[in-house]
Amino acid sequence: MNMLATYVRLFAIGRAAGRGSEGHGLRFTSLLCATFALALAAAVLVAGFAVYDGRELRGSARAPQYVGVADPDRAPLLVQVAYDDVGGAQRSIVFVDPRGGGVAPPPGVERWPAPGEAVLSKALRADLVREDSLDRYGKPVGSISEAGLEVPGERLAYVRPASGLLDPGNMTTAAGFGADERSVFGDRESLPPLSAFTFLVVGMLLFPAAVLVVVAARSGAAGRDRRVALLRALGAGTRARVVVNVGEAALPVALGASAAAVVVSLALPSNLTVPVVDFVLPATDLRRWAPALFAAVLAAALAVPAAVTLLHRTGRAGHGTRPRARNRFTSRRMAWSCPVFLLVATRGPDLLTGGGSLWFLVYVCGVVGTLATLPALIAAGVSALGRLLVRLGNRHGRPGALIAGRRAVAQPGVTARLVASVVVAIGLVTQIQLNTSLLNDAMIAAKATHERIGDSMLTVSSAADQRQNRAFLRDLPEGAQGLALEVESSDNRSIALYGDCAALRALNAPCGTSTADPADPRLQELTAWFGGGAADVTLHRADPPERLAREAERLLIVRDGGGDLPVGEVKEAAFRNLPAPQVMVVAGEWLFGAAELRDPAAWTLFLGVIGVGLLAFAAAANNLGDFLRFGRALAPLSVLVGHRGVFYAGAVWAILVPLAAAGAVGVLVSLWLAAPMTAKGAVLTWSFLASLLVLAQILAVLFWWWGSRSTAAQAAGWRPTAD
Amino acid sequence: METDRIVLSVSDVRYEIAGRLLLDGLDLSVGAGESVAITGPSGSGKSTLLMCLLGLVRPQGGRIVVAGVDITRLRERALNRHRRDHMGMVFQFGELLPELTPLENTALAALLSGVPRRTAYADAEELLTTLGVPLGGTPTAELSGGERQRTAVARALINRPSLVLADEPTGALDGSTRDEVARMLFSVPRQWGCGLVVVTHDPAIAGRSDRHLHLSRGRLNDAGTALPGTGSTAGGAIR
Ligand SMILES: Nc1ncnc2c1ncn2[C@@H]1O[C@H](COP(=O)(O)OP(=O)(O)O)[C@@H](O)[C@H]1O
Ligand SMILES: [Mg+2]
Repeated sequence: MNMLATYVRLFAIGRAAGRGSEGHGLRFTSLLCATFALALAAAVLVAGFAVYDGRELRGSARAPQYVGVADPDRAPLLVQVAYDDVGGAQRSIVFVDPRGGGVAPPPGVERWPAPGEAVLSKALRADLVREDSLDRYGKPVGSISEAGLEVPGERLAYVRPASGLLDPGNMTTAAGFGADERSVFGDRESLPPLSAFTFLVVGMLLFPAAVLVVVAARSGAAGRDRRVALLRALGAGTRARVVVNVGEAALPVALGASAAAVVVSLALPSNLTVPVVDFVLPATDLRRWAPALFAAVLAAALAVPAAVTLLHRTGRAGHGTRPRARNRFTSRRMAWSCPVFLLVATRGPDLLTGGGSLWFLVYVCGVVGTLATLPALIAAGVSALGRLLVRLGNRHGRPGALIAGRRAVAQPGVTARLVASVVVAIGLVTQIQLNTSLLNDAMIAAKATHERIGDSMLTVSSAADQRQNRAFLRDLPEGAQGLALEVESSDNRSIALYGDCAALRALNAPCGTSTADPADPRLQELTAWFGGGAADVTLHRADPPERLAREAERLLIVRDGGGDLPVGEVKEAAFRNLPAPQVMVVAGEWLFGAAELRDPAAWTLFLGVIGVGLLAFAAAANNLGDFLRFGRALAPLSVLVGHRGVFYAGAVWAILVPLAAAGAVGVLVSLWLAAPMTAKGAVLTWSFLASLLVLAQILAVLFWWWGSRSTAAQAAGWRPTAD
Repeated sequence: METDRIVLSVSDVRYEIAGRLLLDGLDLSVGAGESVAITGPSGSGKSTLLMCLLGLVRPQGGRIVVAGVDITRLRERALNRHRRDHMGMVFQFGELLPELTPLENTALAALLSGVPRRTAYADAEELLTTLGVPLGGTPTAELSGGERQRTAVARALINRPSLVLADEPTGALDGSTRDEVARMLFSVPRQWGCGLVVVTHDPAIAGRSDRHLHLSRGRLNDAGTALPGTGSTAGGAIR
C-alpha cells in the first residue's frame, strides 16, 4: 500500500515535471504526434495483414474446384478465365457454364445468370459505364457482392456465354466453388505480395514514426533531467525514475493513442476509401482483426514511454554551448565527394554502352554515394551560409539574421541534420518511386507503339469457327475492316494479311496481291511486333474466315482511312459473336504489364509523402527544440529592450528558410538523380514532387510560427534568476 | 560624488507574495553618478526588489520613479519603452548569447532598441574598448568569466541608461576576477553618470559602493547601523 502510494506520488511528480519544464509545449505535442504516428503506422501494418488474410479467405472460397471428368459435357460446371482491357488495365472475365441445377453459384452471386447474361462487380460496372460499353459481356444482371470479391474495389465479371458461344474444349471442368488454393483470377495478378506491402509500410511509416518517437523522447529534456537528477540525489532507484518518466509522458501518449484508436474505429463500421490510392478498405477484414488492430495501437502506446525511459540521458555531463559532433558533419572530403557522386550517377551510366546490370550498378553507386555524402555538403553549406548571414546581419544591422547566422556557424549540425534528413528522405522516396514505375524495354516499346498508332489497329483472337468469325466480321461497326493475320514463324519470318477489297483499301493497298507499303505506320508496328522487325508484309485478297479456319492466328481490325477504332463497339461485337475473345491493341499485353505498375506506384507515392512528412516533422521538431534553448538565451535581452520581433526574425532564418530550402533542394537533387532513370522510361510523378515540395513549405511555415510564438512566450514569462 | 539628479526614487513600496510581506514600505533613492549596494539574507527579497525596479513585477503599493516617471503606473507598452530607454541590467550569469562576439552582443541590445546600425556598432566598440574587452571575433562563450561580465556591463550601458541594476554580478566569478569586475562596475556611475544598484551577498564587494544598504524585514537600512528598530539611517534610505 505504502509502496503504491509512493509510486502514485512519483507519477504525479513526473506529470508536474512535464508541465513545468521549458519547451513543454513542444515536448507534449511531439510525444502526442509521435504516439499517434507510431500507433497508426502499426495499425496500418496490421490492416495490411488483415486485408491480405481476407483476400486469402475470399479468394479460396471462390476458387473453382477443378475435377477431371472424362466427358466435359457431363461435368457439373465448366469454367474459363479470360481477360479484357477495361479502364486501361487487364480485368478478369470468368466464363461459367453450370450444367444442371446441382452447383451453387460462386460466392457473392445470388443466382446463376442465364445464358447471355453477366454478373459484374460494382467497380467493373463503373468502368464499363465510363467506356459506354456496359453490356459488352452480355446483359448485366445483379452484381457480385463483397463476399465474392477479394477486396470491395476488385474488378471481376462472371459471364455465362450464350449457348452458341460455348467452347467446352477450352473450358475446365469443375465441381463447384471453394478450394484450398486461392483463385487465380481477379486483381490478385497485379497485386504486389504482402512482403512488398510490409516493406513499404515499415520503411515509409514505421521507420519515420520511430524517428519521431526518438526525437520526441529527447526533446525538451532539460527540466525533466533536473528533477530526475534531484530524485536520484534523494536516493530514488531506477524503478522510481521510470515511474516519473512514464508519468511525465502519460498524458500526451494517452491522447495520441486515443486519437489513433479513434481513427481505427472509424474504419470498422463501414468501408472507407483511402484517398490518393483510391483503395476501398474492407471493413469486414478490419473487424475480424479488430483485436490485433487495437493491440497494435496499445503496443505503440507502450513503446513510447519505454523509449522515453530508455532514451533518457542520464549522467551526461553539462550541456555546454560548445559545438559538438563537428567531425561528422563538416568533413571536407565527404562534402567534396558529393558532387563527384552526383556526376557519377547522372553522367556515369552514359559512358557505358548499352544498359544492363553494370549500368544499374554504376547508377546505384552514384545515387547511394550522393545521398550518403550530401549531409556533409549540406553542413558545409550551412556553415558557409551562416557566415554570410552573420556578415549581412552585421552590415545591415539585422538582429534576426545575425543571431541565426551565429547559431548556424557555431552548430551547423543542428540545421544540417534538419536539411539533410529532409533532402535524403525525399531523394530515397523518389528513387523508390522511380524503381516502382520502371518499365522494361518491351513495355516502353509498347507505349511508344500506342503513342504512334493509338487504337487504329486491334487484334482479335479466339477459338471461333468459321461461322462465328464471319458473323463477327459482319457485326463490326461502320468503317471497321477485318483481315486474317498469318505469321510464318519459320527462319524467314513473314507476315501475310488476307482481306476483301474494302479491307485492303483500308490499308491503302490495291485489291489483289501486293507487298505492303512499308511507310504505313500500322504495318510498320505489325512488322516490329510480329515479324521480328525484318519481315515483309504481303497482302492478299481472300475471305478472312476461310484463312482463319486453316492456319491464321488472329484477326486484324483496321479502320477505313486510319484513325482510332471504336474499341468498345468492336469488343461488344466480339463478345456477341466469338467464344471468349481477346481483343487488344498491338502489344497490348505489355501495356497491361505497364498498367499493373500503376497501383503499387500510387501506394509508394502516397506512403512516401506521408513518410517524408513524418521525417520532416521529426527533424523540424528536433530543430525547434534547439531553437527553444537558443531563444531562452535571448530572453533576458528581449525583456530588457522590450522586443519580441527578434524571435520571429530569428526563426525565419533558423527554421523557415532551412526547412523550405530543404524541400526545394530535395526535389532538385531528386530530379537530377532521376534523369538517367526517366531516360530509361521510369516515370517521375510531378504531383509527387509537388506534394513533397508543398509539404516542406507548409511544415516550414508551421514550425516557424510555432518556434517564434513559443520562444516569444517563453521570453515573456522569463524572470531573472539569481540567488 | 555629488548626487545632482535623482534617477531612482522608491517610496513606501509594498510587495506581498504567497502570504509573505517581502517589501514593507521600502524607500530608496539613488542619484545620478551614485552607486548603491544592497545585501541581505537569502530569501529576503533582494531579487524581488530588482524585479520591481525593472517593472517586471508590480508592487501592491508605493511609487517607483525611474528617470522622473512612476513606472508602477505605466501601461505595458510604455513600460517596455521606458525600461529600454532608461534601464540596464547585469545578470549573475551574464545572459549573453554564447555564439555571438562581445561586439555583436553589445550592439544587439542597441539594434533591438532601434538605434541605427552605425551608431550601435560604434558605441559598442567604444564601450568595450573602455571596459577592456578584446574586440576579436571570439565567441562570447570562449571568453573568460571576467570578460563576459565586462561584456554584460557594456551591454547594460549601450543604451545610455539612467539606472543600471545588477543582481549578484560577481556571483559566478572567483577571487581576483571578482575584485577586478567589481572595481570596473563601481566605476560605471562616475564615468557614465548613471545610478547603479547592485545586489550582492559579498560584503567586500558591497564595501566598494557609495552607499551600502541592508535589506531586512522588507526595509532598507544603512548597513553600518543595520539593527532592527533603529530609525537612524545616516545617509541611508533618503526620501
Ligand atoms: N513568484 C513567487 N511565488 C512565491 N514565492 C516567491 C515568488 N517570488 C519570490 N518568492 C519568494 O520570495 C522570497 C524572496 O525571493 P528573492 O527575492 O529571490 O530573495 P533573494 O534574492 O533575496 O534571495 C523567497 O523566499 C521566494 O521563495
Ligand atoms: Mg536573489
